[in-house]
Amino acid sequence: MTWGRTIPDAVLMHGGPAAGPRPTSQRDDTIVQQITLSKRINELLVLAVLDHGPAHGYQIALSVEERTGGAFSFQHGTLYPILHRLEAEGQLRSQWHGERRRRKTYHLTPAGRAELAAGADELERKFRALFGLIRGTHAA
Amino acid sequence: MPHDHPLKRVERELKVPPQRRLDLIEEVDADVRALQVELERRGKTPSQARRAALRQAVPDDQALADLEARHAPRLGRWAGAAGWVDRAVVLGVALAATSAGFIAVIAMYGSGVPDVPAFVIWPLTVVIAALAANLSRAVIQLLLHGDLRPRQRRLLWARQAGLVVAAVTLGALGAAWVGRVTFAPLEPPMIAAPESTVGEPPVRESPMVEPPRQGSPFEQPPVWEPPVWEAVGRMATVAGTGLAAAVFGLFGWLALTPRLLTDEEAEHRIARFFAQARPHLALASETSPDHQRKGEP
Repeated sequence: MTWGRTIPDAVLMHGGPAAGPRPTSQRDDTIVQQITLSKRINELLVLAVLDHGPAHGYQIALSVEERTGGAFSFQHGTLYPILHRLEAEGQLRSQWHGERRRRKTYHLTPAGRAELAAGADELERKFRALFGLIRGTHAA
Repeated sequence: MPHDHPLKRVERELKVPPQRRLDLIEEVDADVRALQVELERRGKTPSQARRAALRQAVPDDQALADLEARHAPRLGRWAGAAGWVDRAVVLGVALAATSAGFIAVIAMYGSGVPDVPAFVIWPLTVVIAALAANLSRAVIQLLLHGDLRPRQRRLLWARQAGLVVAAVTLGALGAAWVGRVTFAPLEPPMIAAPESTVGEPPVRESPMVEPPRQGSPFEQPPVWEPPVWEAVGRMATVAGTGLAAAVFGLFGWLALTPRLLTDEEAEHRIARFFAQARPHLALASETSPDHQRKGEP
């Protein structure tokens, strides 16, 4: 995905301090699942596009690029691992069409819709905190 | 110079089960075509649109690694995460070969075959170990990657078939050797006895059978056991070892066959995909339309 060069390297705690109480045991504390911010954003972009209706892979890529004014775009096939991961996690459902030349369509599942809502809230909190720090307007 | 299909590299480098590979290349191909049409509709030239579509949709090395991590079998994912894929293959193959060779030696020596010469026993042991190694390589490859490419499959099968033939041959050779060693000393007296000692029973000179002893009248006369049965038993053990190795090799491969047949079908469809894509490629991969539009050669 094409985006700023610094943000994709940032690693945030999945369900970090703002998301709720921290795990209590030391083991849980050390194996807290971490995901990169860029990965999370990618997933939410895909889920957000599919929230408007089923789409083929290329339509998702085009739609993300158009609707973000070119700020985000999927290049070099990076879309497919995301789609397949979300499908394996049950947030998307895919369907093949056609006989000779098959095409795959992705649909959002209720689990994906719930994940989109939760992810949007989580991301909003994190970015608010981020910009609060950057612009020196730390939210109380 | 023939153009390679842009997805050929994806197909070649992605180590996941064939059906997954087929699904991915069909999905990407459909997206590339549709994206190209869409970009042309938006005013790009065919070659510009084609290049942009390929750049956007064809997975690069990182995307391939992500896809591989997603679609590899569970054991392969675990081994990959631990960085143990190559070591797992080597260790698995070595363990299988050593175990099979050890069992073969124990079985042959334990069943009284030491009369069989070393030039039969040790090659047979090596063949049995090689059969196990060959089979385990195929199994481990399928367990870790879920993928046994046609060329490698053919190679492993050819090796397996050769080893099966070698096992049967060595078993037969060993059995023949035991037969020759056992029966050769029996022949001259058996033939010569009636001529030299008229009216007397033939003298038994075989080291394997003791002549009836003259002892106490209360002593039971020893049951005369013809040497032929003992020899036949040894021959059967040696031949059976070779045969058992062959059956093990054949049935082991047979156990993989349903999976390999399914994979073969997907491989055929992949091959057909690229064969059918060739004419399309010839039209799409050229850069001439841009040049022609700009008046360039």
